[in-house]
Amino acid sequence: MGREGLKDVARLCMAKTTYAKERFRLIPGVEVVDCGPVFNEFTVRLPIPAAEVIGRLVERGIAPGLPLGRFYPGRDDLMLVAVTEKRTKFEIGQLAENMEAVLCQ
Amino acid sequence: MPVIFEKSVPGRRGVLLPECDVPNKGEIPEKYLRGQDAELCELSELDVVRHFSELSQNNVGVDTVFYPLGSCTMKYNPKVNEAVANLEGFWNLHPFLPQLDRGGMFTQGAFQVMYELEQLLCEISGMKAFTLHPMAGAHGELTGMMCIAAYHRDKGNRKTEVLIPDEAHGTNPSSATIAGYRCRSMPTDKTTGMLDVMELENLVSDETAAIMLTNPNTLGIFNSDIMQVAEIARKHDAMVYYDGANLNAVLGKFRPGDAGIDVMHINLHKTFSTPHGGGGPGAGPVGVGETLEPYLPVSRVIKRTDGTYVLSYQYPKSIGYMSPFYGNFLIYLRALAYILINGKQGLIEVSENAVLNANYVMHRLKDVYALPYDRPCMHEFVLSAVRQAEKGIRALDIAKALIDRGFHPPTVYFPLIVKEALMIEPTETESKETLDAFIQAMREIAQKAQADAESIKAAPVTTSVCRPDEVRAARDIDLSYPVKRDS
Repeated sequence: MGREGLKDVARLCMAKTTYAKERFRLIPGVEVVDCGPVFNEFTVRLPIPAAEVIGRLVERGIAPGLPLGRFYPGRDDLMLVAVTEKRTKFEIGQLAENMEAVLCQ
Repeated sequence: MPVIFEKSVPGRRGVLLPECDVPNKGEIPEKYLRGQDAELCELSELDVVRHFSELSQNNVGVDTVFYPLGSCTMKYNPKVNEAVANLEGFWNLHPFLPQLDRGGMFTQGAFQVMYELEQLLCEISGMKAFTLHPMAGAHGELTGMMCIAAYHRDKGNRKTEVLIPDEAHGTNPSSATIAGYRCRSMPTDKTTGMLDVMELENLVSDETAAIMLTNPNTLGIFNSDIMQVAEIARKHDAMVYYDGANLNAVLGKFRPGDAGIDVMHINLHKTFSTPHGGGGPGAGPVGVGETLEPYLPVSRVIKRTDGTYVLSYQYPKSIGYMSPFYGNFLIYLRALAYILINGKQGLIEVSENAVLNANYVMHRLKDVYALPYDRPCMHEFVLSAVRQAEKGIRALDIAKALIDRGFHPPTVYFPLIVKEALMIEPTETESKETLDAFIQAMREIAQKAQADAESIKAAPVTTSVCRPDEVRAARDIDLSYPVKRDS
């Protein structure tokens, strides 16, 4: 990657994370937790326990994030989403569409 | 050879990333950006490949030279193992996936690898259950000793010490100490090269938590009294720990579990052939008998009645977590491939040929080097350079002279109970031609030690670095390099 390549990686991470946050805000029932600036990860609050949402998405072949209740007792509705430079707009959209679908189940 | 920073060319790069495909560019706020660019090299991919290829040629490894490093089992690592470990379905797995709800259904293959490897290690060793988690042999020792400590605590036993032979690997007392015990050294019988059982009986007491043994021991001698040792331990409710570093000598011939061993580790990277030069990574799975099974680390892979696999944490007496996630998974794959490709008969032949090769080299060298324990050896043997030392040539000089002759030196100055020790482990993968060439080099060095000692003391003369201060090189290492800053 080198000096310029790593900067490009950082820019892509930031851009795609920002896009993913915006896309998640459009999902009914999902709140993007605003806890300060983010780089390549952000937290969402879900209307049902995060572990259950993750389980439903895993069944669809998507591992969407980590349930934060495991690390922070009582925060079972929070999920940490990571977006790297390798994710495409299509994949982010796919994640959001599937999230919306499993929340309607 | 210039360091990679000297090869850097401003603006050069190895990879062009794709255009950003999302509408919001999400620029990183100015206040979070670093003041100046990171001082990273700017190179093409080819520049990088050539640099590291050249660096690799400045090392020796088992793919380039005979590497008879005693107690390290530097056998050839079949390349097919690498092909297995490079299957994307394995290396692309995230270790958190099986811990997510329903994530285990996407990791059944990995679970099956772990489960089947554990079963095979049980069959090979005679132990009842294994954990694969320890990430090196010494980490396995610590895991085993912690299981022993947990057992004694659970029973309310007052145990204070661990008995360890004087020829043991240095990691044995380290592991026992970290587990909370005082270590006492047991002498080796000078005539047999085995643990002195009478001395053991004098030393063992109800305060003995465990006896740690390596078999064959570091002299390369099989301790035929091992069952008696286990019986002595049992009278005092002491556990017997088997250091499996030398398992390459006994595959299909001797199973520690059958001899009453309570806990052992196996160095997958040695016996089951995964590359471990440069510090690994390795894997030191720990096997236990029935008594210690409840104390094994979590998680454990279990097989359900429907044939699927799942991680289980339901072991209330477990010592807990010993490694992040599940240990060095890709090492398991290589070891499993090696075991399955060799099969039962192949593994038996591995040990038979390892022992045959060691005995062949030992017999061809024992007239020119002292052999303190002159009896058939197992997979390795220990010579002594005491005769050469009379002429001022020490084991270290012989090791250096071997480098000039195209061989990696054997282990020197270990075990500690042999003066000027040269510990040689040829392994089963070397041909007779290679062994003969090594023998010839060792004999020539012995002859030169008598006739032209100075030439041996001057060795090595073929390497870019001759004789560094080895203590300072290890303890006071200075890897700094003056990098030219951009103006």
